Amino acid sequence: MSPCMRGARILVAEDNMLVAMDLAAELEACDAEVIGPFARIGEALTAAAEHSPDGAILDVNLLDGEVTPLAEKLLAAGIPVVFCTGVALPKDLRGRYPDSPVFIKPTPPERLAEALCPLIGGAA
Amino acid sequence: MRNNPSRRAPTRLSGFDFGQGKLFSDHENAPGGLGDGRLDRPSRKTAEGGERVTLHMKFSETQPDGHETRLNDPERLAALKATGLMDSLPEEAFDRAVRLATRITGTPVGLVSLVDGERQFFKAQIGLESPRETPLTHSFCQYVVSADRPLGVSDARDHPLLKDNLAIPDLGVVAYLGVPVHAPDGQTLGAFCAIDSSPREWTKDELQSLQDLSHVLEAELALRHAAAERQLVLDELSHRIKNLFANVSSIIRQSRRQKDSVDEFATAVELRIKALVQAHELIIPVALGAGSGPSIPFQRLLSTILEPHYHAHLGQVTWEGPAVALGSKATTALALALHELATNAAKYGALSDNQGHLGIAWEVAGDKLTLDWRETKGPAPDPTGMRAGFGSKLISLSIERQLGGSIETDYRDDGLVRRIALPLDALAA
Repeated sequence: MSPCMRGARILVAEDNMLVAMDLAAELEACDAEVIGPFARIGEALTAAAEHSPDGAILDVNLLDGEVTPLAEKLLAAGIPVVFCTGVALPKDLRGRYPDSPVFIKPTPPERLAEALCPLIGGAA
Repeated sequence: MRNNPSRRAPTRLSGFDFGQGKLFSDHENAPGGLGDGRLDRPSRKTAEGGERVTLHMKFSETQPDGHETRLNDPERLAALKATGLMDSLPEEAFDRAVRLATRITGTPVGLVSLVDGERQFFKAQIGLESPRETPLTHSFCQYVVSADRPLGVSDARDHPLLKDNLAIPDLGVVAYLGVPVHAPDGQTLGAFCAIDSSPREWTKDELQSLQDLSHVLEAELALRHAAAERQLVLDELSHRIKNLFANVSSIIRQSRRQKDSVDEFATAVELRIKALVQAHELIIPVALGAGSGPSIPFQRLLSTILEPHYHAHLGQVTWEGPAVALGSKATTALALALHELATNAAKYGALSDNQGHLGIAWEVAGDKLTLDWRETKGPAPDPTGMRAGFGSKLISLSIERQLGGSIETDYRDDGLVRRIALPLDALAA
């Protein structure tokens, strides 16, 4: 359990629903508030604008394409992101945001939460 | 193997362009067949014991029709690129062929020349000191490619089309015998040729040998292509297996959160994994086959998932609707959702006894599939118990988030009615 997650709003984008549900359940078990999970970038972008998350855990390949536009938007707003990917991180993202942790699937959800934890120190 | 409709008809001897004919004086066998590029008529032995090509034919004095277009045909260039042979290192399979060609013909030079729109690259060469490629200004092979038939020249210096070709002064090409090399899809990739620096006549045997060796190279390319396709299939399988494990692991972790008894936990996990496996079995022949589009019948998925309930409750389950084809992602998502819906019906609803009825009806209207899941004559549903669990979450996430659809539930006295709407484009994914 990651205590720093308590009350934090975490956006989850992951197009494998079982994996997404597992991750969401883990975050909820840490008392985080889950925004999502979303399988499409469009929905996630809308939700990000509405709910101003404290952090995000993003799958790189979503149903409607690479997560880049969403990641760009979150990172530009200073919202920390942890990537979880079945493939490699797109080059432009890695170059621009070398500090975002990247995990290769499969990664247990608690490890993703642990990685995000120190990055959202200011939350709640 | 050669099934590309854009390809020209198989090489025929009657269309075989030979150099000026001045070295070949015997006209008798002129109409001999060369079906599929093979010499099939026994030729006469000459006094020296060698075979003479006993045909008198005029070598084309102009470029083959559509020469530039043929060379730059995007499909041909794509096939050439797909071989991965351009600019690749020498390989024994090709080197062996040119060694054999020069040994058989007694020429100093043999080439496997791959021709694109601008240059020829020598995948294999023997006897040339020049680099491994030349511009087309130095290429005879380009005419073998554009005509897609063999080309024989006894003395290129006399030939109207070739006499100014820079291969003559720069590479010392005088006599040339080349045959096409085809990709597995039939596209002409280049030429396999023997070259001499002084005039000479070519025999039927030599032509046949080059054809045979070219066919050996084509078989090599076909095998490589098949091996590459198999690798793609293996990669896809590996990806899917990884995904299945991720799914199974997620199912176990989440089913554990339900805090059921060990038996309940084990049963729930087992059945969910079974739904995944059923989806996998429907998907895999499609995923590994040639076709990519949506091709899994929705009705087949439905009957697969409902089968155990159907047999346990004969006459209690009916379904009806038009044919709808699913893509592989949608199949997995729907399999999980349908499994949970059916499990709920079996646990709490119309299939929990032998009185109830489950009727599933769907139709396609506009860009949506609407599905009516109607449980009747069963116990009154308890909305509170059903909303929070993993199964319900999985249903709503699969349908709403994964498939971009909607689900509404109406709790009635004798069973629940669910109306599910699914966008067709998501179902095709």
